[in-house]
Amino acid sequence: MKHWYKILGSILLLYVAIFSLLHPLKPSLVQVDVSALHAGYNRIAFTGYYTHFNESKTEAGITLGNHFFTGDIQVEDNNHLAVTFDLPDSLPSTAVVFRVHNEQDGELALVQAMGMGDIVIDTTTDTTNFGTYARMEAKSAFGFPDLPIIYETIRNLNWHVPMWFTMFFLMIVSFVNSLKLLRVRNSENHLEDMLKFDIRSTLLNEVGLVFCILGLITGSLWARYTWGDWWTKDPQLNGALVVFLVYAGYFVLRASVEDADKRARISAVFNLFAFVLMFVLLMIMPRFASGLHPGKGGNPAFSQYDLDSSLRTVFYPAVAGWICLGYWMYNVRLRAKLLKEELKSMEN
Amino acid sequence: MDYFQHFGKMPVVIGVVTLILAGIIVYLSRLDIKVSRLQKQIKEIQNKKNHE
Repeated sequence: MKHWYKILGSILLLYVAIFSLLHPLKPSLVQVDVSALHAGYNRIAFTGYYTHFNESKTEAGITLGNHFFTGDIQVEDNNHLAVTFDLPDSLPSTAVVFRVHNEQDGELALVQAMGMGDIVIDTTTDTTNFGTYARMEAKSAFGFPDLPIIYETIRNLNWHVPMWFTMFFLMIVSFVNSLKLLRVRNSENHLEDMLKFDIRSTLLNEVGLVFCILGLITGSLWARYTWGDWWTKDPQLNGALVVFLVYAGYFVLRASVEDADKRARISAVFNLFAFVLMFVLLMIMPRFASGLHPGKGGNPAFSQYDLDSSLRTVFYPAVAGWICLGYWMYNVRLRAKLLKEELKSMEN
Repeated sequence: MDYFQHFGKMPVVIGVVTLILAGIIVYLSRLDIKVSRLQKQIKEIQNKKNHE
């Protein structure tokens, strides 16, 4: 079965496409529509995301330590509800938390800076008449993590990041081929052996560069709507750009050498340096600098997101699937190239 | 920005997936052109041989 990786890659990527786009996010509370609380009557509209306010009996209100203030709840739909309640003239602190809970979504909370209007903050306030908050039993909600600012774009983890893993895989195989090329001993058909490794490592770099470009542009788009700009000073970003330029330089260098034997040797040596540079720029340097990518500044990559098991079940198959597809692309490219070489020898 | 916020930034995900698919398709079509050219050359050589 020499086609196993093509079948495996297709199945994995089909699964990844469906699961990564359709799996819901964990329910979360995204917004409350007040900027200040007042003594007496208050009305707060809550906005949830992937919540089930309508389908499940929902309680909402604000807590202050163990105290709970709630009142009449009007549910509009699964993502919107409003609660009206009274607040006393005096409260012991300003540390209010907005809370919603029901059986399906579990415990949802939102902390937001709040003005306290005409409420007096007095730590000696008599709290004996305040209601107490009974926490719901913690229930692990179903879905991908719902993080502020990121929201749905957490799904990009399963698309943008595998591009870099695939590039890395292809560059590693290319590196190995360059090593083999430089180890070829002088013999009868040493030129033939060298050119075989030369073609392989060049085409692996070509397909790797395609994934590098895809990683750069998808990262740029993602950055625009989460970090606020098409390009930021994140060390990983600039490192990736340098890697792109170095590998682009590899092809420029090849084009400028006429002699096939010399070209193979020179570009193999260049490839070794390029690979080491890529390893340093993408795997080592970003850990010494703080940046916007998760898990940087000393810690191994993406531990923060990857701890979530629902993301893991898609992310690992995505990496494996894209590596299979990348190798498949290289395989087709290589066969086209070998065919061209054969034609050349037929014509001569 | 409001438009993207409203759908939880789902259009960004669609954009990323579209870019990746577009990139793969562009690469594949270029490869397709290369292979077509090779097929043409092979046919020419076969034709020449038949004439001889």
